[in-house]
Parts: sequence; structure tokens; C-alpha cells
Amino acid sequence: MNTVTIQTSMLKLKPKISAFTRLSTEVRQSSQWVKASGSSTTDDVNIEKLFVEKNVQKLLTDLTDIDLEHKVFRPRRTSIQQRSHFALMTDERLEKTRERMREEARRFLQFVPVKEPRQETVQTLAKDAELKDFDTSKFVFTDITFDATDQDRTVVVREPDGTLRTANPEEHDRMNRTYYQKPNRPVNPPPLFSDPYLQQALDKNEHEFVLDWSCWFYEPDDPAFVRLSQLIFDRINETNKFHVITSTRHFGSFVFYLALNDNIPKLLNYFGSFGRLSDCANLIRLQKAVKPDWRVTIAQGDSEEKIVKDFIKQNARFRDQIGDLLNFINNGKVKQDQDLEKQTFGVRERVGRMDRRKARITSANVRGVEGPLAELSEEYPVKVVKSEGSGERDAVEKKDEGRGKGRWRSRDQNSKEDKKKD
Amino acid sequence: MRKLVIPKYYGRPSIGLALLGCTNRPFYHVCVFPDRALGRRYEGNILEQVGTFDPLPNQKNEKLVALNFGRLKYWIGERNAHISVPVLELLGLSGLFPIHPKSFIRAKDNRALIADQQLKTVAEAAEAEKITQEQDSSGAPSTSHPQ
Repeated sequence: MNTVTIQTSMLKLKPKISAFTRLSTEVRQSSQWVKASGSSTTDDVNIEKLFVEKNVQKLLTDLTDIDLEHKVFRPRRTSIQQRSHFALMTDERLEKTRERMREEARRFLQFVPVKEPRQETVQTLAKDAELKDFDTSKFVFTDITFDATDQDRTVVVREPDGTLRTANPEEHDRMNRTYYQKPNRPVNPPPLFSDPYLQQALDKNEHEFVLDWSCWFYEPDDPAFVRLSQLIFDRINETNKFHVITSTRHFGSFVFYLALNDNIPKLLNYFGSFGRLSDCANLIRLQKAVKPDWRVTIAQGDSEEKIVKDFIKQNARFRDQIGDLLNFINNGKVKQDQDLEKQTFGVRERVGRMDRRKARITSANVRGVEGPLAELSEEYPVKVVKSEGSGERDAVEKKDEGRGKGRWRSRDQNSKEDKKKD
Repeated sequence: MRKLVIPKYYGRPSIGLALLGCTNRPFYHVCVFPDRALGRRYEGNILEQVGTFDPLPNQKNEKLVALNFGRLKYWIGERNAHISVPVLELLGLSGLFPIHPKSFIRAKDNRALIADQQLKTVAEAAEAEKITQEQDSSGAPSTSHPQ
């Protein structure tokens, strides 16, 4: 073994692999995100570019409404222990706090990227017929060089028949998961992502959990991820369970997927049933931005109602799917509250305990059963350390209470009182 | 023992497999060992681990090999390390080196073995068929004339 042969064989291999991968990204006919059945001429659509376009992103963020209490900041199980924090606030301050929370929520609701899946075809690097049956199993070679990233790591497979080929995306990512472990990212995809269990989870309205985990488990350009999220999106659309995905970070890609596939009437009906005309109009605008058609464009000064009415007129075939929307447009009727209750039932169920205490705590009821202490307030006297609405000093004190100082102080006072009683 | 030389920089290192499994579960590390003159290869003597090799196939019938090619190139190219035959075979299969002759020999032996087995199974099947046919021909009259 002289060094010259080593050098040449290494040099031959490296550019070969990189050239092949580059080629695979360039040669691409139609998008995986567009289903073949509903579309006619969808070639040359660059989904990734379309998704990050400014007006599309604007429409998507507008469509994703921010539900702070029931969705973004709902009580959830975490590994961090936190106490709930109660504070008395002036109206102005309350509004400021809400705005701050909304700002934070916007960060939480950053969209999952919509990417074209990687090519599943593999390149044969070498063929050695002489090597046939050298072993009964495949050999998978992973480059664990420090510099290599998860994306550009070289993984090659030697088949039992002697061919040497690059790994397909599934093998590549599995090797990444094997040699570079992360918490909650097992080597093999969890059974939750395949059908009997997936359907069970979706029946329990756990769409967000499944999507979040798949997001963490897969790369966004993994074919399996694209397939799984499309499957979940399709099932949401079939069963009309839009409430499970609104104001989550998956809503953007969900709406984008529906708009791409010309499949919006059900979602339109959902918005219409709540009387959210602007959302309806935005959704229609989105579809026309994603699938431009010179025959049906939106004029500059069209009002939202006109946009929606035009859309209904142009798409008479959807008439039986958008009953609630028509009801709202023609009669101004919004669905009854009972229906809404039913729709959000799954979410409410999980936050039921909190809901009882959802009533706003004011200076009047903080000492009573309605306050944060609930039944315990009958046993213990509640002392409020600071009074409501008296300027700067309060703000400083409030911070202290957040750290638990105020709590301790009131407890000390209580113990003093107890001693007096004794 | 007092060391007279620094093993890392002394002599000609060698790259080989170190068996680091447990009972009934072999698992190898691809390791760099110091010069032969410094003693036997044992765990405490390893200079650097540059990969792993799992000889038991996993659920999908794959044998996993991880190799730190960057470091391997250093030890082979700059330090002129001696490479043991099993590692040479792995490197050959991975496409970094030309395929080692021993791999070809093993492949040839395996093919011969498989061909032998196939011949044997074919012969056995033919024999079994013959026996069943004989039994049928001898058994049919006996069933038709019960004693």
C-alpha cells in the first residue's frame, strides 16, 4: 500500500460525491408539496422561495391568530418547576404586560420551514462484482470527522453484492441519530409516527404534540417529515379539526399546503363560521398569491367582503362545503357559542383546572375564595403587601415579590400574628 | 514505570481494532496504538480512538462502522502508521483504500460455500421427492386393501 494510490482514490471519491449531491438539488421537476391529483401545470414551482416571499409570509402571520391563554401559554408539562405568579396591576400595566406576552408569543410561533424533501435516489460510487457475498449484511460507513455537520456528513453503504453507494436520506439521518444523540430523539422513528398509534394520537387531538416531536426528530427536508406532516394536515382537513392547529407554529405551513393544493374551502368555512371576514379574505389572497391566475385576480381597492364574494362566485363547486360562510355573508349569522365550546373541547379539557381560576383577580376578591389561595384563604389571613396603582415604587416591589421576597414577608407577619394569639 | 519517551510521538504507531465489548457482545474500537517497542496492545496504551466497528448486524441487517477520516489521514499520511489487516479491509470496503485482497478471498470462499449449500439442498429436495413418490406408490395399494 503506497501513499500515492491512497491519495488518488480519495481524490476521486470526494468530488464525485459532492458533484452528485449538487446535481440532485438542481434536477427537480415538480414539488413534493403539491399533490398530483388536484393540479395541472405545477412544474417549476420553487416552494422554498415561495414560502419565504414577503407577502406570503405576511399573509401567513396575519392568518395565525395568537391565542395566549388557551394555546401559546397554556399550562403544559415541562421539566422546569415554576410557581404561578399573581400580581395586582393597573389597567395600563396589564395592557403592557399583555403586549409583552404577545411579543414573546410571536417568537414561539415562528413557522416551521417548508422545504423540498431531499432526493431519495442514491448514487453508485463503485461496483465490484468480485466482492459479491463478502458478507451477509450491509456495511454502513459514517464519517465522524469533527468538522462534518449533520447535513454534509459523508455516509456510504457497501451492499453485500459489492456495490458502494451513497446513503439515502433515511440511512443518513439514522446514522446521524446513532452517532450524535440528542434527548428525545431515538435512533429509530418512534411508533407514534406510524399509523395505528398516529391515528390514536390524532383522535385525542394531540396534533400539536405529534407535529412538534416530528419537527424535533426529523430534519425539515427529510422526505419522511414531509410525508408525515402532509398526512397530519390532510387528516386535520378531512375531519375539520382546525382548532387544534390554529395559533401554533405549524399553522403557517398547514395553510400554505392547503393553498398550494387548492384545498381551502373547508378552512374558509371555518373562518366564516366565526365571522372572521378578514381572515377569509387573507386566505383567498394567499391562495391567489401562491397560485397566480390571470383570469381571477384581486383588484387593488377590493374590500374584504368583495374578495370573499367574488371567490364564492368563481368557485361555485365549493358551495356545499362553505355553508357556514354563506350563512354569515348572507344573513350575518355566526355559529352559536355552544358549537364553539364543542369545538374547543379537547383543548379546554386539558386546561380545565386553570379555567376555574381564570376569573380576573382584583383587589376586591384577592382575599376571598376567588383569589389565588382559594379554599385556603378561609384558614389563613391574606395580606397584600402593596396597594394597587401607586406609581414607581410599586413596580420595584413587584419585582421583589416575583423573587419570593414578598411572599416570605407576609409569611413572617402571619407567624408573628400566630404568636400573638398564643 | 518511568517513561523514557512520549508514546504519542515515538516510533511508528499502528492502527488496529481493540475489542471493547462484554460477554457475548463483541464491539470494536478502531484505535491508534504506539510503537511496538513500547509493549503489548492493551486498553491503557491506546493513543487515540479513530472509529468504531459493530460486528453484530442491527435490525436492518447493517453492520455499522464509524471512521474519523480526518484523523485517519493524519495517522496514515503524516505518521506513516502501520495498519492491521482487519482495518485495511474496513478501509477498503469504505472506498478510502483499494479493496484488500483478503476481502476478495473471503467473498470467493463464501460464494463457493453458498454454491455448495445450494447443490446440497437441491439434492436433498430431489431425494425427499423420490422417497415420497416411493411411499405413495407403495402406500396407495395398502390403503385400498385394508387388512
